[in-house]
Amino acid sequence: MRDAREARGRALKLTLPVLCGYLFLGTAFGATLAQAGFGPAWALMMSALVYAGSLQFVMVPLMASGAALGTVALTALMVNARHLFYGVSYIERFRRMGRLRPYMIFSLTDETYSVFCGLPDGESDGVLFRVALYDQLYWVVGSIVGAGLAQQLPFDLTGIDFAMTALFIVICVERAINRADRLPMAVGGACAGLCLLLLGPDRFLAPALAATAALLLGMDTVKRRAAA
Amino acid sequence: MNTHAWLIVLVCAGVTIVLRALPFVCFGGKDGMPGWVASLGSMLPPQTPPGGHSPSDSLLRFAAV
Repeated sequence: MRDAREARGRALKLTLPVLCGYLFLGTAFGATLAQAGFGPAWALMMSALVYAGSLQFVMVPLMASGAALGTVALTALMVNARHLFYGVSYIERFRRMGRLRPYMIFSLTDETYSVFCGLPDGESDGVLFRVALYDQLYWVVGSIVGAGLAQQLPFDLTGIDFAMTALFIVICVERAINRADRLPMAVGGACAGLCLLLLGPDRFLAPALAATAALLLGMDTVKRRAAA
Repeated sequence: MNTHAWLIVLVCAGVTIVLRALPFVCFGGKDGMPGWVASLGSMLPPQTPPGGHSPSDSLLRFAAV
């Protein structure tokens, strides 16, 4: 009982930055959805079943225009391709979580991954599970509130999308301060910058992640051979 | 109820869960992870020592000020 209370408190503290970001951005998503003619029930369903922020924003015009399902699937694949990389870091950790494992895999979003990255290896299953659950609850609540408000009030969304950018900048700076080896971060930054210049803001993310992964693997192989 | 919009939600939910689950399906079996996947997994997330602080600590300190 006490363990559960401690885990709740720790998870609430850990997810505080995500709460701030998700409530604002979830509200913006719900309002965008409502303006396209889909009410709070749709916001609830999408945030519960899809639970992928950027994809959900992209889905709104696709739903409003009745896009072909093949186009939708391809768009979802491109927008969410980065999720392939998140799971690689948690294969062993989630394996030890038993019946919680399917939900942990489903709920591994950018923000939840960012919070997990700051946790020690020995963090309890209860804390990890609650972090994932609370993050989704914040997103669901924000979406429903936004959809509800947009039906009642005129809603100006200008600037709200910067909430998540600000959150990721804070998390990135924190990690840079705490990490002894900053080379992987520098490689990631360089790949992202180069791909952004070459491919533009709409298409740079997946190639940048793939290039980062390939370079890190190459560097690791060279290091191992040198040590052998 | 808009059936096509429903289908779009289901397709997006399906693609998303497949992408998130793929590393676990491919490398989470009894054979364990190949060495290169383990290396990549250890490099991608920035590790902090046990007791290391989280973004929330800074946010709380900032709020306290």
